[in-house]
Amino acid sequence: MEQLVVQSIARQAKGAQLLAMLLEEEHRLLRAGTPQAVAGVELMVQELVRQLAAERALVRRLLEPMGVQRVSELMAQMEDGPRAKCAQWLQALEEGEQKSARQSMINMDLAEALLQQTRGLLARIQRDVLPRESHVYTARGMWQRRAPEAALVHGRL
Amino acid sequence: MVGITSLFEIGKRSLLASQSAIQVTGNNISNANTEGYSRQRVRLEDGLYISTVPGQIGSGVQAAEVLRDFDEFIELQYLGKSSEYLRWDTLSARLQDVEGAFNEANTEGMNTALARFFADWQQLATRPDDSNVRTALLADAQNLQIFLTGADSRLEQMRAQADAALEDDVETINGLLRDIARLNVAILGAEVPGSINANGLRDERAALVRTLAEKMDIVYLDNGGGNVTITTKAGQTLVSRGEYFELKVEGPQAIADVAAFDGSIQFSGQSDHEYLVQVVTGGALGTAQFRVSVDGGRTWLADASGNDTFSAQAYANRITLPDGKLDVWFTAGTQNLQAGDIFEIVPHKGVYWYENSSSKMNITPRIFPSGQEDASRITGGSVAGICAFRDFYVGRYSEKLDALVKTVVWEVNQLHSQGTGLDPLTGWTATNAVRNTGVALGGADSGLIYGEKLTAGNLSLSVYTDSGSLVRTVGLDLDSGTTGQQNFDPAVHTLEDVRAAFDAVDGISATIVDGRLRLAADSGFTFAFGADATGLLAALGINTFFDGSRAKDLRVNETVSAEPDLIASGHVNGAGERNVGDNATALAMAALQHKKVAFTTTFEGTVQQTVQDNYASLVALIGADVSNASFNQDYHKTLADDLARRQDEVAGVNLDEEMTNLIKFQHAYAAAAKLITTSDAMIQTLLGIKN
Repeated sequence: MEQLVVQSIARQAKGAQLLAMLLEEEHRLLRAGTPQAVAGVELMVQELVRQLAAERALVRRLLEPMGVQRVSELMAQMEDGPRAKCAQWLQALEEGEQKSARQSMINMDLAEALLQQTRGLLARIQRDVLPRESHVYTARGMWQRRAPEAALVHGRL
Repeated sequence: MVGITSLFEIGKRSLLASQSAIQVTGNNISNANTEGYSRQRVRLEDGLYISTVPGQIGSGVQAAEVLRDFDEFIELQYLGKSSEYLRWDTLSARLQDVEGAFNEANTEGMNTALARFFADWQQLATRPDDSNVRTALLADAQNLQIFLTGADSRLEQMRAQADAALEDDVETINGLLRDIARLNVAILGAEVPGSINANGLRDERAALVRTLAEKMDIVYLDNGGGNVTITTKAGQTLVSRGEYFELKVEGPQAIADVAAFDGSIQFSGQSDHEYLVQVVTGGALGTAQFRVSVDGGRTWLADASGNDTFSAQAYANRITLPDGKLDVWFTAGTQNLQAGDIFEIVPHKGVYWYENSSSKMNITPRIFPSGQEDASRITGGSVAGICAFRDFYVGRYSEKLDALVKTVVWEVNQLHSQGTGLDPLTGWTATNAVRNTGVALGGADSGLIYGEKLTAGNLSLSVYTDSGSLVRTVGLDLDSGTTGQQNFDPAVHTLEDVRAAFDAVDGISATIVDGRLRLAADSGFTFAFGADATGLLAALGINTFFDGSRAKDLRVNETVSAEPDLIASGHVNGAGERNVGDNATALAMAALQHKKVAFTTTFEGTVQQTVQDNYASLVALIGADVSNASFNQDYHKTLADDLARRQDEVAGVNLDEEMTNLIKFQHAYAAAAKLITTSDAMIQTLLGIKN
């Protein structure tokens, strides 16, 4: 049982490192302005996060029958060799998580900024296509009062 | 008139229009790789219509004008982002150089040097009479000094490089402004609205504006008809139609905004801040009072006693500002200073905007100590990056390094000055000079470096015979005319008073040479210092281990380094005795390694840290700044690239599209030719009827 916990932590550590790598790749793609590719990586990130969450749940289930709540409590009961190994994986997991957290914040800021920029440009396009006057001719040449709302596919183009 | 002959005219026009379109397409194709070229296209319009039966008949096509595909809105967004990007890019690159100078190896070296210095004092405590230990201590102290002065000189080099880069940038900016103004005139002259567009000139101007935005933040206003105005974000006009306003890099100076005062403010010293001097009480020199701010008047500098107003003095009694970096004085005029008079002191190279030959404005980018940016100055482009690097970033590192040195020197000297070495002293010349020997030592006009550290109290000294027998132990009496011992008060007593007090001690003669106190034992006597509650000895530089107060002038005291036996390892006890093997001072010095002491900077205030922790916090600050600048550079580059891509989508030449256009216009040309041959056939048919 103890070995299963350590194995799960090892998988989580490797997963967290992979997560950091994927987020770095996502960052590179965001900088290159390739949203389609970003979406692909994002799907992989989500799947990896789901798997990491599943591993966490597994560790919790494994700890319960051993009468402990936290891995640190289990480590206190371990022999020196396995405990050192477990500590090593935990440290790698912590580093991977920290790196992923930092990178995901950077990616989020960047994606948010690009969104705002695009939104600004779109708002400007919308302003341009909106008639200055709310009274307009319809496609049939009839005078019509319209609400000044953006209507990209509504016949006035 | 509608008829067969008009078909020739329609065909001819069509041929010409297609020719123009093919020419423009060809020009696009050949400029596909030209930097700054915007795609062009011909605007075709139908010709006049002639009313006839069965109705209006057109007269063909005409090539109305050659248009340039360019999105001004995206360009404006791009210019803003590009300024931001270049600002952070410049800053990031330069900060990485600083990080290189303070790299991990250096950190290790500095930490090791500090640790060795304190370990040597521990060793000295174990073997106070071992000359090898004393020699090792001196060597390690010099090593520590080399690290600190080396770091400071690297920062100084970076400042000089930033100054040179600033001058280069401003020179480039002036060239750009001149060329943009010239192009404005050329475009205005060449364009005829609706028919002739100076597309090439507009491309050229757009490229120059992009380069300008990389140098500084700008506002680009298109007034129509090719006439553009460019201003800084703060509102200073740089280009208006054919006029341009130059920027200049000028050296340290003070700018006055006064009601009547016709004298001047003067300063000496070097600082990365800009100082706002405001007169709070008017009057003649000596009466008028002023206060000083480094954040544009939000807060006011105060000395150690909390006093934030200073007397406006002439050169002889000039004031050292509380941050210790500048001396300020006034020259008298025929009119007095008045409350509300303001002076701006810029003690480094700055950027000035000249509205005309006599009116200028300081637009040097500025970040206040709080980190807030001055929005009335340049805030973007490489110029902002360079100035932020020089004044805010390197300025802070320099200040932190100086604060570290100042504290180390003070703490070490405080302990050392109250200790005694293997031999008592026969004389000592103070290392710190006083500017005016007739003013209170604690005042800002005394010019004493550590004047603000002085406290009221007393110090004791013991006089011995040549053979080491105690003659007397006395406290310093600042007024021998009054009964009892009069203590030292930094707000009252001058260097002259201190000299007289020392001179009054039997066995000791005191003189002042070039503002420095010189003590000499009379023939047959020696002396040593006991406890000093005033800080006078350390402040004046008597019986001290280090000289200087900043990283650039730090060194081990020459007297001590020439005579290692004078390194104070022991102390004089309450009975005035110097005991062999006493290690009290050496132990206190070793304990300093783990003692939290005060470090004061204008941006952090006063913090209590150990010396090593303080140095580590400097390295951490640099690391955090590099990381932050790198993130911002990355962030703004992504946004600028995104906008550049969008502009390329509009203005860039797509060869596939141009080839398609070429075929399209070729077919149009062929069809027009066919129209002419068909018309010709029709006429031939008509002419054939006769035959």
